[in-house]
Parts: sequence; structure tokens; C-alpha cells
Amino acid sequence: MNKDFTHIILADDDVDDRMFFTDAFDELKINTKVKTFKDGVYLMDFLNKHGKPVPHILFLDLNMPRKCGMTCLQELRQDKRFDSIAVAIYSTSAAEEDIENTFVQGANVYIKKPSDFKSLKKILATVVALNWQYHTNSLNRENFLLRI
Amino acid sequence: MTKKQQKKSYILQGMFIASLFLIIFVAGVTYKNYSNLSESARMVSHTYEVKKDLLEVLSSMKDAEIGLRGYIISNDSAFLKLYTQSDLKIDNALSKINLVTRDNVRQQQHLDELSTLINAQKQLLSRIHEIEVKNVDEDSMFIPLFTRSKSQMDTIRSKVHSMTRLEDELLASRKEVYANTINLAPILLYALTLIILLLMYVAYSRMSADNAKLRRYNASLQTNKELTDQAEVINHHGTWTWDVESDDFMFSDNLYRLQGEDPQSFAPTLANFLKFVHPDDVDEFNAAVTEMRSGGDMPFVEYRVVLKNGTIRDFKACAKSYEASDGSTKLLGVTTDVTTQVSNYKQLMDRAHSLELNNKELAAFNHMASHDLQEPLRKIQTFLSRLEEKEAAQLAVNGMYYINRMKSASQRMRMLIDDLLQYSRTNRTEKEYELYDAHMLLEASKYDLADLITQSDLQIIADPLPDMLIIPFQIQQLFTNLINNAIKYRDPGRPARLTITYEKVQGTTAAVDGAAPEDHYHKITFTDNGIGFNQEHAENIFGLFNRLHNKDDYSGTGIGLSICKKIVENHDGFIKATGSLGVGASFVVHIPCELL
Repeated sequence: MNKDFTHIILADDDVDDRMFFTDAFDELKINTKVKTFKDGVYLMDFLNKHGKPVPHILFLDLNMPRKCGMTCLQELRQDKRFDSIAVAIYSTSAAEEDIENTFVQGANVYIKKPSDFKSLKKILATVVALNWQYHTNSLNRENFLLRI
Repeated sequence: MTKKQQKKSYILQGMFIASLFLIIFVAGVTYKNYSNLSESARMVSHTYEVKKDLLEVLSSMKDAEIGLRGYIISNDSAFLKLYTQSDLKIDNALSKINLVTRDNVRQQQHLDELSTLINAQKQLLSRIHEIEVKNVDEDSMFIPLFTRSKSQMDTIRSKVHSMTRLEDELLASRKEVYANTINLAPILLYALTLIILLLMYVAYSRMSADNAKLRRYNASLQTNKELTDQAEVINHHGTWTWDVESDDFMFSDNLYRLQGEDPQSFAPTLANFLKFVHPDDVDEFNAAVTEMRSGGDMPFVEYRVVLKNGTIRDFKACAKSYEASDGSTKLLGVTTDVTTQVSNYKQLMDRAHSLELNNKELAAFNHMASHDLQEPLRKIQTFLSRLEEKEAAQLAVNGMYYINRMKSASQRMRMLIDDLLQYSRTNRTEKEYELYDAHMLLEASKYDLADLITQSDLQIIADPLPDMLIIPFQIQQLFTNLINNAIKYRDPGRPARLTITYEKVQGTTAAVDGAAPEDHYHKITFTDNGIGFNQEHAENIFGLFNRLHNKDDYSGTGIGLSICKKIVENHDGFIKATGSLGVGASFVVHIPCELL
């Protein structure tokens, strides 16, 4: 595998959202490898069995059948192997309690799914380009929710 | 009995005892006086007796001498009889005197001397008699003898005199003592009787005052009893007392009525009472009784009773131990029929439960609205944006127009969902107030709306705002909505301007209905120069979904101001709008400085 690729994983139960997501990265023309899973069980199975290479960024929908995003987040953050993964919460809701809980559980950024394709591309580009080291060090509740 | 009453009764007892002692004393003094008096009378008669007997002695002595002389001269034996009889008389009188004066030493001495003198005289007289009998007619022999007799008689007479004088002296001194006693006694008796009368009077008046008080207490007790009876009937409760030691019960009339019985229709015993207790509650009831028997107070115990006609009532009882004035310990209990309260409570609990269910449903609906409803909408919008971007070239003019209409409709739906969510969030019950810098919140609102403010060229002139006791995120929402309102309804014909003024006012000058006159309020006024509104709509604009304008001309959802009103009400404040068509609108917010 080429080390220049950014490995990206999305776990989302919604087929349309997965399509928007991959389409957006296709159009962005940046060196990424995108993998999608349709719920938390598939995601965790994949990560636990074929853990390498560890993805750089994991986009995690909260509302999924079988295993929800919050559970995945808790399991990931308890496993040292996945310390390097930047977790971006990718959700329709921007409810205060969701933002608060995922922040406490150790997510790195919170993205509210935008409602037009242009904004989606812009947000994804921003997230991929983020200096995670810097962002994580200066992370606080105010900049946790990504605003575009 | 109170200490005061006890003291009073001691005083009364003391008065009676004092009176008793005084009466005994008076009786004693009177008795003493009477015995003194009779003693004096006896002494007087004694003196007279002694004097009479002395005279008797003297006269008998004279008789003897006279009789002897007469016999000598006449030789008539009748004279001699006078002489011989006198001897017996003298002895009699002398022995009487001796008897009467036996306790008087001086008089006894006198009497001894007198007896000696009399004996000497008697001997002299008998010698004269012998001479006469021997017929010695020798006058010369008699003369010296008679001379001696005369002198001896003189001595006897003087002795009798001195004895008489002594008796007189004794009498005089006794009379004096008697007079003193008899004079002093009435004054003393009179004074003492007065004191006794006074004591009796005071005691009597006190007793009658106490009696009157007692009658008054009795009357008020009677009234209280009537009141208690009435209260028991009205409040559905009964009272009872239980003397634990003697196991005596007393039930009030209403306690019988509560159990569906006629007052005092059965003996008030624990066993009879237990007959009414619901079988399921007997154990708990007995446990409470045992606790009372040992410990005293009984906490609230709830149990059911079964009336004769089969109905079940809920009772609640409690008791307190009470030490009566006679030292015995009693339990005073109150038993209340709480059937209505219990059923009301059950109803209330049912309602609370269904309310809770409703709230849960509402919360589920909120979640649905925030998440599930937004998801398809977001996808519609995203697909629209893809369609517009990728397929625009293949669409006719009409197609593009339809796409644009769909875009604005879905945009509107998004706004509605967002505003509704916000409205339901402001309805949340937990109110956590904190002292927060309101000016910072205003700045945050301006920051949130920065794009819109720049686009609309809105000029905002704001007074500095102080720290306020508020729910910060709600107040920020309030500011955002009010600024947003000024943006939405600006007049395109002139540069938009929003003035925010601050003032701290007292309730009296707040000029709003319902403001507490004593309290202070933060008064914040948002005045814009927008299109304004007719004053007759001033109340309507705060209603949910109430819009004054066509939705194509102005983008409002009709929820924003409802949220403002809700937020201000959450803070126990007031919001009022004044407007003038074509001139502008003004929103006045009053937030209390302290929590009410």
C-alpha cells in the first residue's frame, strides 16, 4: 500500500449517505482510500480482524442498527491499537447531549451532515486536511463541533 | 393543676388552719376567764364565810361570859345554859374556819393563836364557874378574875379583827386581779373574732372567685368539646385515649360514626376495635399497638377497616403519649378517615403516570423530529443539489424553475423543523439559573448571525448589559431571535438599524401587568426601524405559527417570537411588543434581577 494514501473508513447504515460520501471523495481528487460499512458490527469485526493498516480517519454515524456509533467509539477508545485513529462523528443530529457524550468518550471532531453536496465536499476536504496532532491538542468543546 | 393554682390552694389551706388555731385560742382564753371568774366568786364567799365564823366565835365567847356573869349574879340556871352551850358553838365555828383557811399559812397562824387565847379564856371562865359552884361568896375573889377575863376578851377581839382585816385585804387584791382580767378579756376576744371573720371573708371571697373561674373554664371546655365534635364530623376524624396501665379506652362519638356505628354503641376496648380492621392489615395494626404499649408515641399508621355493610375505608391513625396532671400516662390518638384522600392520591398518581408516558412520547417525537425527519429532508436537499449541479444542462427552463421551487420548499421545511425543535427545547422543565454575563451572550448571538447581519447591513447599537441570573443558552436564543426578527422584517427602503437599550427598573415603574412592585427588573429594549406592525396585532405576534406577513415575502416560520415569549416566561419575566406600521417595532423584555 502506498503510504501517501489517507485511509478513511465510514460506518453508516444509510445507503444514500454512503453514496454521497464516496462520490464526494471521488470528486475531491485527493489520495484517499475509502471503505464503508453498513453498521457497527461489520466495522468492529473488520477492525479487529484486519486491523492493518489502521485507518487514519474513521467517520462514525451514531444511529445504526445492531451496534450504534457510541458503542463503537467506546470500544475503540478502550483498545490501545486504535489510539492513532482520528474519530469524526458524522451524524444528522446536532443534539447537545450527543455532542457532549461523544466529546467525553474521546471523539476528535463532530460533523453535522450537511444538506447539500457542495458543503459536504468542503467539510470532508477540511477534515482530511486537518492537522490532527494540533487539533487534538487544542481540542475543546467549542471547536469540537466543526463549523463550515 | 398549674403551679399557680397549687400555690393558691396552699394559701387557702393556711388561712383555714390559722382561723382554726385562733378559734381554739379564743375558746381557751374564754375558758380561762370563766374559771378565773368562778374562782374569784368562790374566794369572795370564802372571805365572807371566814368573817361570819369569826363573828360567831366572838359572839359565842361573849355569850359564855355574859351567861356566866348572869348566873353568878342571879343564880338562875338559865344563864348557865347560855354558858355551857357556847362552848360547842365556838368549837364548831373554829373547826369551820380551820377547814376554810387551811391553804392560808398566815391565817392558820392567826387561828392557832386565837385558839390558844380562847382556850385560856375558857379555862378562866371554868375557874370562875368552879368558884361559884363551891359557893365561895367572896366578891373580892371574882374581881381580879373578871378583870383578867376582860383583858383576855380584848385580846381575842383584836385577834379576830386582825384576822378579819387579813381576809378583807385578800378580798381586795382578788377583786383587783378579777377586774383586770374581766376588763382585758372582751377587747382581746373582740379583736380575735374580727381577725377570724376577716380571714374567713378573704378565704370565702377567694373561693367564690375560684369557683366563678372554674365555672368559666367549664363553659369554655364545653364549647371546645362542641367545636371538637363538630370538627371531627367535618374532617372525618375521631379521637381516642388509652390509659396503658389500666387498659382503659375512651372513643369519641365520631370514631364510632366513622366505623359505621352509633356513638358509644359498644364498649371501647381494643378487641372490639380490632373487629373492624381489615384482615390483611391486622398484623401491621397489632405491631403498631405493641409499639405504643412499650414505647409511647405511635407514628402514622395506615390501615383499612371493613364496615358492617361491607364497605372498605382507609384510616390513618397516630398517637402521642401524654402525662396527665395526676401522674398517669395516657396515649392521645387521632384516627382520620382518609378514603377520599387515598383515592384522590391514587387518581393523581395515575395521572402523573400517564403524564410521564405522554412526556416520554413527546421526547420520542422530539427525537423523531430532530433525527428521523431531518434525514430524508437532508437527502432530498442533497439530491436536489446534485441534480442542479450535474443535470442542469439537460433541463428545460421549467425544470430549473421546479427545482428552485423544491429547493425553497425544502429549505422552509428545514427552518420549520429547526424552530419547532428549539421551541420544544425551551419547554424543557429543568431550569438551571446561573449568574451570567448577558453582554457576552449578546455578542455570541451577533457572532452566530454575523453573515446575515453583514448581508442585510444591519447596524446594531447596544448598551452594555450586566451579569444576570439566567439560563444562558435560552437568553442567547432570545437575543438571536430578536436580532433575527429585525433582520427579517427590515425595511428595504432605508438602512436597517437596531437599538438595544438597558435599564434597571423597579417593579412599580416597570409598567407591565403582574410585575412585583418590590422587585427589580432588567429592562432590555430592542427597537428597530423595520416595517413595523399594526399595534392591534401586538399580542398575536407571540402566538405559535402566527404570522403577519405572506411567507413568500418574509421568511419567518411564526415560531421565533413564540420561543422568545416562552424563554422570558421561563425566567418569570415579561415581553411586550409595540409597533407602528412603516416606522418600526419595539420589543421590551423584563427579566427579574432575583429569582422569584
